[in-house]
Amino acid sequence: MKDQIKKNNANDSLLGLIIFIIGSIYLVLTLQLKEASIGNPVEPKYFPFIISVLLIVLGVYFLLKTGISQLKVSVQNIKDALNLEGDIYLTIAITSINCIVYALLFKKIGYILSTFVFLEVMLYLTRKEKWVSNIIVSTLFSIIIYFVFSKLLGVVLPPIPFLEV
Amino acid sequence: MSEILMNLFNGFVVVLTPYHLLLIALGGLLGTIVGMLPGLGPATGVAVLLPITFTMGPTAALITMCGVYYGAMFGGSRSSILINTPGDGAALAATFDGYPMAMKGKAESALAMSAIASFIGGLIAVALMVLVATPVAEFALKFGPAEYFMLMVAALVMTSSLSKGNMLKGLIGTGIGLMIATIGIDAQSGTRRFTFGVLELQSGIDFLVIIIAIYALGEVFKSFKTLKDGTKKAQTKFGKIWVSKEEWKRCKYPILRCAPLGFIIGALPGAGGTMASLMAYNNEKQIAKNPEAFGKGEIIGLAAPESANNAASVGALIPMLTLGIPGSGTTAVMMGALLMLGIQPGPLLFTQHPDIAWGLIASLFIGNIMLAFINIPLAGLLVRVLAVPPKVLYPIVLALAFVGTYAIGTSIVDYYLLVIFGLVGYFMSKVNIPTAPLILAVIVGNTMENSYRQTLNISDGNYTAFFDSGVSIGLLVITVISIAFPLIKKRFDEKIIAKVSAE
Repeated sequence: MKDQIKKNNANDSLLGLIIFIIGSIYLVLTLQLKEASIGNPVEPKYFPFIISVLLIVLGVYFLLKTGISQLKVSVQNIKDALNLEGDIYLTIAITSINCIVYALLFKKIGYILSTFVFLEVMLYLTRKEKWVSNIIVSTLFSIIIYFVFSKLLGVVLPPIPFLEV
Repeated sequence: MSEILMNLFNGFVVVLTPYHLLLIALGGLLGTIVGMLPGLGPATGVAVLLPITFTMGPTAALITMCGVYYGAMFGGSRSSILINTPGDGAALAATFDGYPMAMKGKAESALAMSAIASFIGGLIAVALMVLVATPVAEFALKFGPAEYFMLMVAALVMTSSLSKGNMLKGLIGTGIGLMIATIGIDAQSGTRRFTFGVLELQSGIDFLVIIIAIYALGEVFKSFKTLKDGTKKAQTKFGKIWVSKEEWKRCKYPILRCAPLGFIIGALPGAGGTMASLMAYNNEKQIAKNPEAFGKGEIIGLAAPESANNAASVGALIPMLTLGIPGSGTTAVMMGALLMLGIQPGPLLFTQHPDIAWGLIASLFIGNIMLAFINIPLAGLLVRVLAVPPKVLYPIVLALAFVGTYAIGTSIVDYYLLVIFGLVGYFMSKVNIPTAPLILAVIVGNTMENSYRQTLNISDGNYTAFFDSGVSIGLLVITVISIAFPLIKKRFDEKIIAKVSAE
C-alpha cells in the first residue's frame, strides 16, 4: 500500500512535466494565433491564454510537489510496469494500430470488408484457439450491421467497391 | 403546479403507446447487455447505442435512450451481484453485500431487492424532480452572460473537487477539456484556432466523439487487464425471484431514506451515482443495529445504495435539463443525445419545449417500471449474456463505437480522434485523473468562452462585471467552498485517523 502511494507520487512528477509541456506548447500556439479581422483583434486569444496558464501552473505544481529528482524514479516505474504488464500494453498498442488501419481501409474497401478484417484481428488477439467461431462472429456482425444501418437506420456506410453492396 | 402535472400527464400519454413501450423494452434489453459487461456502464451504453435512434425522430429516440440508460443501470447491478464485477462506479456498492448474498444462495432475493429498491428510489426521485425542475429553470432564465460564466466555473470546479482522485488532477482534466473545446473556427471572430491545417477540425471536435473515445475505447483498453485474468462463471439457474416479507420489512425504511439523499447528491455536478450509493451504504451501516453484518450479505446493504443510485441518476438530470450543464459522464451522453436530436437543454427547454422535458421525465419513469418488470421475471434469461465470453463482446463494442462515430459525422478523421482520445482516457485513468471534468469542459467550453467574452464586451473590459450581481457572488462562494471542501475533508480524515490510531 505504502509502496503504491510512493509510486503514485513519483509518477505525479512525470505527470507534472507532461502537463507543463502541453500547457507551454498550447501557450506558444495561442500567441501565434492570427489576429481577428473583426472586433478586438486579440480577443480569440484571451480564453486559450487563461487555459494555458492554468495548465502550466498545475504542471509546475505537480513537478515541484514531488521534486524533479523523482522523475528518474517515475521513468523506472514505467519500465517496471512495461516489464510486468508488457502484454497488456502490447494488446493496447496492436488494438490502436488496428483501429488506424481500419480507418485507412474503411472507405477504400467498404464497411463490410474493413469491419471483417478489424474484428478478425481483434478476436485473433484475444482468442486464437476458436478461429472458426471468430470468423462466424466477424462475418455476421459486419453484414448485419451494414444492412441494419444502411437499410433500417438510413446511415449510408461505404459499400464494397465494384459490387456496390 | 397543475400545469406541471398536466405536462407530466401528457408525457405519460405520449410514452404509453405500444410502439414506444416496445422501444423502451428493446432499448432496455440492449442497455442491459452493455451494462452487464464489466467496466461498461450507462454512459458507454448510451454512447454506443446512440446511432440506433438516428432516424426515429426526437420522441421515440429519447424514449429508447431512456430504456438504454435504465437497462445499463440494471445490467450493472446484475453483474455486481452475480459475478462481483460492477458495470460502472455507481454499481460498485452493490457488490459489497449483493455478491455475498449470491454466494450464500440468496441470489434470488438480491436480484429482486435490487430491482425493487431501484424502482422505489427512481419513483421518489421523479416525484422530487417534478417539484424542483421548473423553479430551477425559471431562476436560471434570469442569468446574464456573467452569471452563466460564473455558473460554469462553479460547475467545473465542483466537478473537479467532487470527482474521485484529487481536485488538482480534476482541474488538469478541466484544462485539457477546455483546450479541446477551443479547437476549430472561433464563432465570434472567424479566426481559425489550433486546426493545424486539417479541414475537418475547422468545425471543432464533436464532444460525442470524445465521449465515445473515453467511455468505449478507453474502457475497453482498461478491460484488457481483466480479460487476461479471466472472468467468473455466473449462476444461471434461479428459483422464484422475489423477496420475503421479512426482508421487505427491514429494507423498507432504508430505501425510503436513501432516495432523497441520492437525489440531492445526484443533482450536484460531479458527485453522481457512485458517491450517492457509497454514502447511502455508509450511512445505513452507521445507523444499523448490526453494522458487522454489512459486507457479509446484509440485504439492507444492497437495498440502500441501489435506491440512492437510481435516485441520483434522476437528480443528475436536473442540472443537465435546466441549466444545460451535465454533472456526470452519463448525463453528458444523454445531453449529447438531446443535442443530436436538435434539442438544446437549458432553462428555455422547460418553457419552450415542455413536452420534451416532461416526456423525458415520463419515459424515465416508465423505463424504470418496465425494467423492474423485465428484470425480475427474466433475470434468469438475461444473465445468460454473462455467459457470452467478454472476449467476443469487447471487440464488438469497439466496432459499434466506430460505426456510431461514423454515423454522427461521416468523417474518417473522427476515427483517428477516437484512437487518440481513447488512449488519453486510458492514461488519464492510469494517473488517477478523473474523466468527468474533462467531458464537462469539452461540452461547456464554447459557451463558457462566449459568456466570458460577452461579459467583457458589455463591461468594456472591466473584470468586476463578473461579480456584479448577487447570483454571481453566490456562485463565487460555491466555487470557493468547492475548492476548500477537499482541504477540509482531508483535515477531517486526518483527525479521524489520529483518533483511531490513538485508541
